[in-house]
Amino acid sequence: MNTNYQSNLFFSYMRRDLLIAFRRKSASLNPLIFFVMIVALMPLSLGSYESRLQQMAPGVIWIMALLSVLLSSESLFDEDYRDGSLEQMIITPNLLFMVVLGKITAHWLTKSLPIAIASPLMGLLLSISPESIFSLMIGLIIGTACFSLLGGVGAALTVATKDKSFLLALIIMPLYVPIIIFGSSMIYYRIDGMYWSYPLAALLSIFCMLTILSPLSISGIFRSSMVE
Amino acid sequence: MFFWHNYGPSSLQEFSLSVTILSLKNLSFNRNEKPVFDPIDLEINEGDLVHIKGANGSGKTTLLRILVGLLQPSSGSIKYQGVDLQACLYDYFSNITYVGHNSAVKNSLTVFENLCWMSGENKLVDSHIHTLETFGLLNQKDSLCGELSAGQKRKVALTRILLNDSKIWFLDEPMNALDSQGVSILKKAMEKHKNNQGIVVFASHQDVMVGDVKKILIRNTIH
Repeated sequence: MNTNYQSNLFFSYMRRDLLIAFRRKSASLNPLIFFVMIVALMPLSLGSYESRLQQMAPGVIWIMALLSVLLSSESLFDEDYRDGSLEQMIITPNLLFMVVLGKITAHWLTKSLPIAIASPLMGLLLSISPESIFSLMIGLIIGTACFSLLGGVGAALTVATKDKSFLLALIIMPLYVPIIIFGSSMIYYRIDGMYWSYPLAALLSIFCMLTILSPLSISGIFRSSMVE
Repeated sequence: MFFWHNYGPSSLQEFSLSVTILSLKNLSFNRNEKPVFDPIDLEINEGDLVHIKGANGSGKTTLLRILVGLLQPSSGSIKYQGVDLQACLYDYFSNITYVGHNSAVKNSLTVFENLCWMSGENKLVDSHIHTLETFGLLNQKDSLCGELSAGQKRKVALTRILLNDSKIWFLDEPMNALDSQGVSILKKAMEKHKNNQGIVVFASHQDVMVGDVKKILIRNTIH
């Protein structure tokens, strides 16, 4: 197939979803607001002991980021399923891979990336040292992309299911474990003065793997849904 | 323009005057291990208008979705230009346009933006203006589809048939929510497509007065 046409397909779907997200600002901002509010409540519930906050902060921020992205990713294909666009996607004579990747990229840009951008502020609120803030942000930029890619698989599996939240968490949550481990390790390594590039490399390799495998799996799920 | 791909399963030269594009043999579909409708045998040729008729719940949409390639039949076969449909699915998809029961129209986008997305163009082109004029939507081109009436949204969905040069149109209850003017526009488009040797397969529970129609009566076998 024509490579140029395939990339046009990617950009066409990404642009369409970005436009829709821009027109529905409140829905797009929900994950960010959820993330900021929950993380801001942490110092109040844990007390203002700086050392305790510092110890827990990386894990808390990563888990809250995961929950925020998970909340929005469960509905990644819902609207397309309801309004019939998903059927049009399936019968496209092109690779579904690029369509799916375009949609996931738009999801990451509108719902997940703002969380990574807000993370330095949240890190400072939880007393993470300013030197570790950079590793937190870099980790979350890659980590949230992984969350969106994996969330897409869960969303595709449960698209026709009514009560999907529990099912989605049950199916996908275990797959998030390595991302959480390597992501939060980056900050702990940085705090302990170790090379945080090792967990970063592991995180990057997970990201590269998911960029290929996730759209492929989602395409397979949709194409196989043709058998009722 | 469509139409005959070099890499397709067969070439135009192989056909005589009445070219069979789709042939269904003993086609049936089971849901919960019960057949939805009686087995169907049918040949669809170039220039055919096929009306799938039946009561509510008789399986019209299911049959249409099977023909589109969205569902696989439980038994029987579908051949596209003499080749099993599953073996030439991508070639088949590039030659069909499907307007389903759901419109596949985005409420948060304008009529023009929806048209751009359906046609794969980034800007307003002559074919968009012509299509909007045909369906009487030119004045609404900058309106959000969420603000349109059900009939107008249906018209936006139906623009898909004119935007793509597809050989086969599959339309599920295309007249739903359309006013008499909309129905007349659609009938004209269907007849024009038929005269250009295109194929229109539509499901509707109503009688539709268009040209020379091949009717398939679907009977639900579950109830």
